[in-house]
Amino acid sequence: MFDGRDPLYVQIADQIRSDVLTGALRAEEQVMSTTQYATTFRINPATAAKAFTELVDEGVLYKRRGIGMFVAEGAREQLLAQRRASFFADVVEPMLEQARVLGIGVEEIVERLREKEGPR
Amino acid sequence: MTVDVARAPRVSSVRATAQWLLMMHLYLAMWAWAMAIVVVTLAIVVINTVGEVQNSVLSFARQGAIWFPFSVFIAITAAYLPVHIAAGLTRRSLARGSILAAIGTGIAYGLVYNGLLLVERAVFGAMGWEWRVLEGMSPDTADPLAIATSTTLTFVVAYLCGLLVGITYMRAGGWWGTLALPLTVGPILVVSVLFAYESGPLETSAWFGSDQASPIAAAASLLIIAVQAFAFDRLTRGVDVPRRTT
Amino acid sequence: MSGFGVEVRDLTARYDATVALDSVSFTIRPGVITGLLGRNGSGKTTALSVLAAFKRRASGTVLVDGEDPWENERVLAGTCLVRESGDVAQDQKLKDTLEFLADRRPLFDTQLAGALMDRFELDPLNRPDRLSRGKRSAFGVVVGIASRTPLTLLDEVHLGMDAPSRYAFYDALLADWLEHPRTIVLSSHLIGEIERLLEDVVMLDRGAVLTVSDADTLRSSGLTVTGPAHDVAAFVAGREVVARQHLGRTAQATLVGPRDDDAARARAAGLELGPVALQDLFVHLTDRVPTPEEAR
Repeated sequence: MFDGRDPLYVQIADQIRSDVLTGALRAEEQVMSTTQYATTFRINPATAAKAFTELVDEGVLYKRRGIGMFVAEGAREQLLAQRRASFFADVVEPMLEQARVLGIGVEEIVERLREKEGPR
Repeated sequence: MTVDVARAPRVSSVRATAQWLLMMHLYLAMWAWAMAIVVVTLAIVVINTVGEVQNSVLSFARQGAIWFPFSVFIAITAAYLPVHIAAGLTRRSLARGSILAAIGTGIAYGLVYNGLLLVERAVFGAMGWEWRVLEGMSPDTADPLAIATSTTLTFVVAYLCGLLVGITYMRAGGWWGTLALPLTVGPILVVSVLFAYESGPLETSAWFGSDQASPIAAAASLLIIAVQAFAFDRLTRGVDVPRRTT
Repeated sequence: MSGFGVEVRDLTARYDATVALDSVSFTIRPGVITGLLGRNGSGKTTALSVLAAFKRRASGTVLVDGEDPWENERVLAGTCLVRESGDVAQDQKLKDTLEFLADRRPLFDTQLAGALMDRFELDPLNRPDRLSRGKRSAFGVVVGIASRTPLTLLDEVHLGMDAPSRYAFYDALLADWLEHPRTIVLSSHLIGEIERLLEDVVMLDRGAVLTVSDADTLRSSGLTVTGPAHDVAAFVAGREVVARQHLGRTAQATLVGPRDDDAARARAAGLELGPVALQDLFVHLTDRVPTPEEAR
């Protein structure tokens, strides 16, 4: 856990984002406090706080004073929209580049995708 | 937080240090004197059975009362320095606390030693034995006050010597610490000689007159104590905590 | 911000003729958990000893909370250095040492000390000279945390402790830091376990400062490139490579100083990028011949 190439706070934020995306964290659900997070994963509290601040700034989480932090209404939809937007840039384009290197034509890829999608 | 830290410690750190060191030395003193009393009593009983009691036995304990605390002061100076600095205290308070503890311990040993001498004298009187001090460098006088002054001052000088030996070894290491021994231990011999003004190697009563020799020795001791305290304070202010303590 | 900040400028410190620190400069932010990393003999302990006025400096400026710590009653009362050797009375009961410190440390928390003693299974009636190395270290941790000083310097205290005790130490440190934020410096040459606890890092090497950075930046300053040897060589040409490994035709290079287009270029060339753990980065940056201790 948390051994990727990104800064630690980015990895923490990413993990919470993906929990929201998969539905592990639902709207209006309370998330761990910075304190809990830091002590549970033995992470510098300032680093953990930075991740939470970023998520609050993005509108994924919001603070209820004196109670804690909660998943914002519509956070999942917002993240989905972002992920969709970046899907082509992050996944499709690199795939096409790889395909070009390997000499795989677009038609061939589309065919394979149809095959995979077909039985469902 | 910064405000809280600025608040003064509960007791002055010089006083706390002096008290703490003094308690340690007095605890050891308790054992030392308890043993001394047993040994002296046994010795008197033995001498009385095999021969005739002719002079004070307890007065031989004077050397012990000089050298035992002296060595304890050397050891404690080395062992306590890291503890003191690690507790967030200054070398200033360490130096002053140690000096006060040495003086306090000297006075305590002086009181006990001279108190016991009076007891011994009373016992000798009751038994009809002759009480005199035979020990080489003691004043050949029966005046309790003179003995009390000379022994107490000698004790204080000796314990300050212990502090100086300890700190010199810490500051300068083995070679220089050893070479400096005449300076660091010398004061014990100097005051011992000065107080043995009638029988000692210098016979200062011949120089100053027998009335003046004792006050002069006392004044010289006080001067030596002041110089020792000054030197110890200077040496302690600049000392590093050794790299390894275990 | 709470806690003492530290500013060190051109600090030189010597042991007789040996120069332990040669004109080093760094700052430690107040209220931050900072790692002081370096190999054995790199000057970590010397630097901490000067900050805590255990040792005199030869030259340079050292400011703790804005003042020179040497013989400074206020600053020293707020500074606690715990060395691995443990500067407590070796022949006294642990409970006596705790009482001694409670009388001398303005912010000492006796209750916390008691709780930590239980946590580390330390018998208050035992004495340091009868404890194992691990238990002695644990007692150092108790002293360091319970003193609650605005500047707490823990010099390799966790090295002698077994894994459960080390985790207990990290947990206790974080929990108390969260309630009473203060400046904490952890020094070590074994970084793996503590790297996530650190916000800032000061790295020393052979008596000089190698790098001063926040931990996240430092961590992401290294990357590995893996793939066909020829492509890897092309990728890293002209860049700072701190390590290379070959396995048949596959090569891995460790780079310092990532660029924004690295991911795109790697994809285009069919190369894989990977992270470099702070510990590995540290080894690469300070590597001459690794000592057996570090190779562990």
